[in-house]
Amino acid sequence: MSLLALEDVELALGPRRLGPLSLHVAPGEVVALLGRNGAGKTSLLRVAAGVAAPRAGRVTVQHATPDRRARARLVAYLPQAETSVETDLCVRELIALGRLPHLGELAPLGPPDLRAIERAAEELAVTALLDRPLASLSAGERQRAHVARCFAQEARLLVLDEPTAALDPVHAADLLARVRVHSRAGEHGALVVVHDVLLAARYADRVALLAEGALLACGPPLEVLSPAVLEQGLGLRASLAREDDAFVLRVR
Amino acid sequence: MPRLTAARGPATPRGLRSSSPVLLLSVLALLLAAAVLGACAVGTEPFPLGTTVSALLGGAEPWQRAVVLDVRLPRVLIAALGGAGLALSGAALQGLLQNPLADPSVLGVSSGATLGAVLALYLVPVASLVIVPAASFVFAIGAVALTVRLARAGGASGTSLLLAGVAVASAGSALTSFVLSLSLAEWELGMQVLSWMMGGLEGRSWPHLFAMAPPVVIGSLACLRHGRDLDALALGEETAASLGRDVGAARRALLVLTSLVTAAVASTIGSVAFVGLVVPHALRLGARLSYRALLGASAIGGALLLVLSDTLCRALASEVDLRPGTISSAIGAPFFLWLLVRRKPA
Repeated sequence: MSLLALEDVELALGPRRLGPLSLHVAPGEVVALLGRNGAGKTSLLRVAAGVAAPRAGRVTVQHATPDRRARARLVAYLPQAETSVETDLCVRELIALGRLPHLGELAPLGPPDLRAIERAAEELAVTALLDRPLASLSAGERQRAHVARCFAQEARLLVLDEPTAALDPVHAADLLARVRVHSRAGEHGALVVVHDVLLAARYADRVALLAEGALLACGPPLEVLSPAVLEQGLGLRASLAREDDAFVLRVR
Repeated sequence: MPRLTAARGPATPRGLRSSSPVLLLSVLALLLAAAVLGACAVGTEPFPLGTTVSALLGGAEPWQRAVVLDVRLPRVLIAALGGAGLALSGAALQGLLQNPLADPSVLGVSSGATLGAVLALYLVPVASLVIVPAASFVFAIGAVALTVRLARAGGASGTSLLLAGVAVASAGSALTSFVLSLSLAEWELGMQVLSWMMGGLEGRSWPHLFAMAPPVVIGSLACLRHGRDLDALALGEETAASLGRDVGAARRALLVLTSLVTAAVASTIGSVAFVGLVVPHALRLGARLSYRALLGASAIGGALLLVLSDTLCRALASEVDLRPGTISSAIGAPFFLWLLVRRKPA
C-alpha cells in the first residue's frame, strides 16, 4: 500500500528533463529528497503535491487521482520559503488556514477544526506563540508555525520543500524530529527536501537522490548513500557510516 | 495594539482571522445610515432631520419632498454605491495581486474611464449625461482588457499585470492630456473636460443610479464569494492551490468583477482617488478580518467616506467648488497616517 505513487513521471526542467522515474511513499514513512541545486527536487515536489502536472507519467494518492479539493484533504504542501504578505497574520490565523480544505465556504471553524489547530500547535511547540504575529517570530519559530499549518490540514501526506533551509542545526534537527514523530504516530507519509545528508540519514526512513535528470538512488540511507553515490549525486567526496547511535559523515 | 472590535476576548476565535466582524459591521452600517440621513438634510437649503425623515417617507411639503427625493437622495445613494464599489474593489485587488498598493485604478480602469468620457465630451458636440458615461464605461472595460492581454504576453503573473496596468494607465493619461490640451482652445469645453477629470457628483440623479447600480451591486456581491480564495492567497498562489482553491478561476472572476464595478463607478462619477486604497487598509490596521468580512466592511466604510465627502462638497458649494475626491483624500490621508504611526511594532 502506498500513499503517494509517482509512476514513470517525466518533467521538464527548463531545457533539460527529469525522469522518467518512479517513487513511492508509504504510510508512516519519511522520505528525504536529496540532490544538488537545480536537480529538480522542487519541480518533482510540486508534481507530488499536485500544484503542477508532469509532462508524462502518473501521480496517484492512495491509488487514485483526487480532484483539487479532495487532494487538499490528502496532501499538505509547504513550498520553499512560504511567506505571507498579510504581515499582521498571527500564528493561530496561519494554522487556521490549514483547515480551509475541511471548511464549507461560509462555515466558521467548528470544534474539530479548533482541536486540529490546537493539536498541530502542540506538536510543533508553538502553543505559546498562537497570538504572536508571524513577523515577530524567529526563523525557527516561523518555520514551525508553517509546518503546523500543514499538520492542521490533517492530510495523509506531507510534502515539504526545504523546511529546514533557514534553520540552525539544532532547530533543523528538532523540526525534522517532529515531522518524524507525526508521521509515525498518525501513519502519515512525508516527502521532504533536505540538503543535509546527516539530517536525512538520521530522520528519513528512505532517501531519494536526484542527479543528472534521474533518480540515482532510492532506499534506506545507509544502504544507498555509498561513497560513489555521494560523489556522483552530490559532488561530495565522503562516506556515511553509523557508529552506535550516531550517523557519521567522513568528508575526504 | 488596541482593536476596533471587541472580539479578541477569552473565547477562541471561530473565524479564520481573530476579529469577529459582527460588531464592526454593525457599527459601520449604523454610521452609514446616519450619514445618509444627514446627507439628505444638508444642502443649499438645509432641512431639520425631522423634516428630512418625513420627506423620505413621503411627507413634508411637496417642494421639500422634491428636493430630498429627486435631488439629494439619488446623489447620496450614488456616492454610497460608488464609495462601496471602489473600496471593495480595492480590497479585493490588494488580496488578489498580493500588493498593498493596489487600488481599483491599478489595472488602467480609471484611466480608461476618464479617456472615454473626455473623448466623448470633445468629439460629440452635445454630449449628454448618457453618452459620456457610456463612452467612459466602454473605454474603462477596453483598458482593462488591454492590460490583461498585455500581461498575458508578459507571463500573466501578478507583477506583469501590475506593470501592464501602469503602462495602460499612463498611455490613457497621456491621451487624456492630449484631448484636454486640444479642448482648452474653447473655454467652455476645456472646463467641462477638466471638471470630469476631477470627478464629482454634480447633477447626478436617478437615471445614473439605475445605470450604475446593477454592475456595482452584482459585481460586489459576486466578489464576496471569493473571500476564502483571497484568505488562502495570503500564503501565495501555490499554497492556495494546495489548499484546494481554484486560483486561476478566482483570479479571472475577481479581475472581471472588480473591473466591472470600477468601470461602472468611474463612468458615473469620474475617478475618485484614495477611497479604494485607504479604506481597506484603515480596516486592516484596526481589525484582523477574514476577506469576506474585509470586503463587506470596506464596502460600508467606502460608502461612508464618499457620502461624507460629497456632503461636505454640497455644504460648501456656495463658497468653493470642491470635489469629493479632494475631501476623501484630505480626510483619509491623515487618518491613514495616524493609524500607521499608532501601529506599534510587535
